[in-house]
Amino acid sequence: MATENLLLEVGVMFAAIGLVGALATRIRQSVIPFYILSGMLLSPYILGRIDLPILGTGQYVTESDFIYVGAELGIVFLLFFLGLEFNLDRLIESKDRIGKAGTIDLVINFGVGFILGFALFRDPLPAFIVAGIVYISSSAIITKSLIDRGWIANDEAGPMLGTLVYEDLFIAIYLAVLSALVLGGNGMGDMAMSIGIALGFILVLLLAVYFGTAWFERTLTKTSNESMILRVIGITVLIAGAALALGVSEAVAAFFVGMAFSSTDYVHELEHLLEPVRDTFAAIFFFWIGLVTDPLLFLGVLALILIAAVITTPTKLISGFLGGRVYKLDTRRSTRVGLGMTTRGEFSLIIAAIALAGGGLALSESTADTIYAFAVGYVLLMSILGTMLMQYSGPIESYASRRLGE
Amino acid sequence: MKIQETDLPGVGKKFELELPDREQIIVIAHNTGKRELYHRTKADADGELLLSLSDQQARNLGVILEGAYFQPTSGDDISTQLPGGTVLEWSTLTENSELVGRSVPTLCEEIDLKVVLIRRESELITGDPPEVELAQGDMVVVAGERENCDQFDRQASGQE
Repeated sequence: MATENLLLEVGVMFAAIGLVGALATRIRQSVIPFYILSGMLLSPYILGRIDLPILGTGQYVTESDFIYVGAELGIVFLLFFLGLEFNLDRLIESKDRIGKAGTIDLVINFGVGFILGFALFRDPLPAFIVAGIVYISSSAIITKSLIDRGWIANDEAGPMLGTLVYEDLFIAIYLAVLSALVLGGNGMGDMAMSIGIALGFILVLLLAVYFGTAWFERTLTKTSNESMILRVIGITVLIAGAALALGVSEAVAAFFVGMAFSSTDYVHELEHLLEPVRDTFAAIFFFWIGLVTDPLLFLGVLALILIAAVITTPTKLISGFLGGRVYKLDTRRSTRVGLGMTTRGEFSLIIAAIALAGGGLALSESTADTIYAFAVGYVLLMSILGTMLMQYSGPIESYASRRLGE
Repeated sequence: MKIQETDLPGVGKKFELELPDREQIIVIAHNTGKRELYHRTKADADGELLLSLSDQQARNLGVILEGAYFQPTSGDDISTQLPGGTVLEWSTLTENSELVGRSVPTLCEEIDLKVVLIRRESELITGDPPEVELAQGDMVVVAGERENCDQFDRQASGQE
């Protein structure tokens, strides 16, 4: 479409997002897979191929700069919020239980994921990427489902949220390393230097977060809402953008900036003011994921997706169940933990986006495209599957109680 | 009563209050300000959602439960309510008030109330002396039923 239609395209995007969001809420599913599907429907691959009345063929929503940067901002704000709500002191309090449950989750799921990836691609870097994609559960969807189901008030929420926190920390490091590996060019020397820069940048950020709390606090004191929101967005996006320009994961940078603000007194206000911003750009991110996905590629990776689903669902069930046991829960509640943790979502897509960007660099184009299509299909499947497992957990809980006792 | 506080990372805080008969009330205080109230019949049962309240609603409910509910009276009238329903009211007599020149006993006959105190310049007149005539600028403190005090107030400020 021509440039004067860009506003219309963006309008179509937001309208579609709003529409499918309402539909998803109606049928009590997570909105994320629906946002992705709406992006796919409006992409050149589907809508572009349909012959519309009056308008003809070739009408679709283009991946304009606005949508692309909007998607990046979605990643930035998603991770910013994660950092904002992250509380190191509280983590240290429960470090034993979270450490045990999280490590079980990591070893089982990342381990199996790596083996699976290596079996499929015969190369350590794609294996590393696949491991990340199938390891990490979706904090966003699971937390929302916990609240919607009312499980948030029950004991099973403890191990689930705790394990998700552990995963968040691991993924921050993983994303930093992955970005360096994927975007840092070929050869061991290049990669080593990229990882060095990445870790150096993160170290500087960590020190700034640790020692600079007072400064962060000062930027927010006695400001109007408008001023506060603009300052925080300015600081966050500037740092994230600088990180990306240096080849460091912008997601990790945003995570640490969020952590920096989490120790100020303004956490609640920031959450309140920035939640709509985050939700808007996160929706663009998920829409964009669908927009750049060619559904025909799914056919090629359909076998991969199904194999992965068959293997990585039981692994989460087991690791989640064991995590529940670490928290001393009975069979029924431990089963719930396992069922909930099978849900994959936003993080797997962020990893997939990095993989896609690496096509032609550290990864071959076809490998990157394959991994990307795999990840999108995998997340579509697992986000819906996980949500449904939580909704219809009753019979599974009874079965587990009978087989395994209390 | 035992209250257990648990942290829910990414969500907020959970407070579990134990009631007699092993029932539990659970409050989830979301980071966003929302509060949810759950009820559990026994320790291993699932929590059942009773209420979902916004921050403001939760505060209002909390204040009522605390027994400290205070309903602010409407701004204009200056009055204080004694236990039992008796109202204390005070008004300053304006130039065009029809009460100017009225004696206290006459006033109390016309409007069923008691004159507690009159402040004239810096002098305080108490004791209901019959020969006192109300003058412009007097601040008169009266006690009685609300409608009578309201009527007095209107007459004192010249509105009637």
